Amino acid sequence: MDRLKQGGFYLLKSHALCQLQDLGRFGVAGLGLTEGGACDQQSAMLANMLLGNVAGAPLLEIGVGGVSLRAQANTYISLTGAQMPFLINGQPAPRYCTIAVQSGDLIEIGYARAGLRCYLAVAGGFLVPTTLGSVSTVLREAVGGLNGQALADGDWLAVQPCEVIALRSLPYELQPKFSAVTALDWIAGAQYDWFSQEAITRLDQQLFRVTKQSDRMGCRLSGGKIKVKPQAQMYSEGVCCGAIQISNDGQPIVMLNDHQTIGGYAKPGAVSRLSLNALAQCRPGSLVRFVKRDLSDVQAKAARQREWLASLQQEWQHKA
Amino acid sequence: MSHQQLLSIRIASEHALYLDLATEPSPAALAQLVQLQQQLKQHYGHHLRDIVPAYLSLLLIFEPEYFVYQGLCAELTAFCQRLFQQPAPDLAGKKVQLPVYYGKDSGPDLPRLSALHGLSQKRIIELHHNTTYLVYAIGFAPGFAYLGFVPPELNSPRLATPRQQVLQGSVGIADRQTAVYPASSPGGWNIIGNSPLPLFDLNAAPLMPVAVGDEIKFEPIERAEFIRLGGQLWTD
Repeated sequence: MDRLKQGGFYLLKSHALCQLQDLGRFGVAGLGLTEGGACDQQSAMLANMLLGNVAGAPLLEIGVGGVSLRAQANTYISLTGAQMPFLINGQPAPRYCTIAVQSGDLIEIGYARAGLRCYLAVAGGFLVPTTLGSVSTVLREAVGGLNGQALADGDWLAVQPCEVIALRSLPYELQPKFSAVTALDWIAGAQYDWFSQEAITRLDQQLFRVTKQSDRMGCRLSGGKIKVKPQAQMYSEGVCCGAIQISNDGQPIVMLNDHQTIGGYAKPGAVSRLSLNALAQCRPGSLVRFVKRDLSDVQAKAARQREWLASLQQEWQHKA
Repeated sequence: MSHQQLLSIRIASEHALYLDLATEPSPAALAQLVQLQQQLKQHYGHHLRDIVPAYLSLLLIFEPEYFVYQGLCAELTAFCQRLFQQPAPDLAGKKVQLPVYYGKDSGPDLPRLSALHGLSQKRIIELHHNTTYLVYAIGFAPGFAYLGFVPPELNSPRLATPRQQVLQGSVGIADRQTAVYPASSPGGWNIIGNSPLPLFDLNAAPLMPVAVGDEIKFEPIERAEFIRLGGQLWTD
């Protein structure tokens, strides 16, 4: 690279799990296009908010880690989500913090020590064209990102010129933590009646293990079989993010952001959006347990979280 | 007055729900589904993030802040009641003709289906293209339209082991349904032909030549015409 471009970032080392994302693509599920977007939406929003961006500005979702970039701009970045070693020019840098970078800086993200997906945002968001209203990369559909692909070595990501911004940080005690067993709040719905009380109890009272077949489409769990009562034919119906699908082998799959848009498997209900954020950070082998909640409880929790994010945003805006 | 009813409302997630309109798919229920979809889109605007029609139901995904379940249930029930008091809608979808080359080099499962059903390949092809289909849902992949229904003689179970790669344009049968693969992908449908027309194009407006509720007819074409239209053959 003798004549380097200015006003952006070079990907020096990347892979299929390093993808441009925002908060998702809406309005085209009826044509079979999934919503996509950051799997851990809260970490993505926080990464953007630390830079004064809109919560849904284009950023990088980096699964597993092992990515490096070179800054070719004087700007600001932030890193949230999974705990990954984070180095700038070889020096450790803090997560959940506004960080100034200079043209020529080397940014290295090591492999996750806890959690699975981190979010790297830049002031103003990466400048990439949207496809059907979103930059979200969906590999299976070859939609979004740069030409429908994950980011590769040598890719160039442009950013907008940046003025001086306030330095913000999220105190450690407010940063999301990773627990040994992740509790998944879920609500009854869809084909709940197709499951016996015994099956629902079984779903709630055992630990499930995240399998390595999990991906951005769905988190595949393994545990004691969940039986579906024998039914007449089921016609396919729309499937939404969070839906718990019980496969023919009795194992649950929790639909993540790249889920299929329709399906014909029985679903006892859906995992809450907040719990999906936590599930998106569970690596293969980790344990989860389902906790059935009332819709009103789950909604109240979501509302409190929105209020917290709004108050944080307000506080940080005042710093600007 | 329409004979349609809102059978039930089910929770799908903390900000999504299903409206159930029928227990068996039919052209009448499909027409009502399409009409309801259009009117709800208009009524709720951006509060309704997405809407997925399929066979018997609509999945409505709302903005999380907007989703008050009890309130929406009452509102949607009243909305449907008003709508269903009006005369039953006709299927107002487009009539779309899709060219298909049926042959062993475009439909590798023709010989097997012929043996399975005890019908000649010619008869299978005739039965398939003499039927008019309705688009009951779009999903599985962008632009993948589920078409119903094939004549009972062609009802065929999916392959025991799905293929790693089904060619773009492949026309397949699974149970009572038929479909065209809009892009190459893994798949377990019985492939009997191939349509060279693109069914999903990110750069086209609209993105798809067909929509839920449209009427589809397959038009047999010769091998030479298929090649001329840019069709791809199976090489195995």
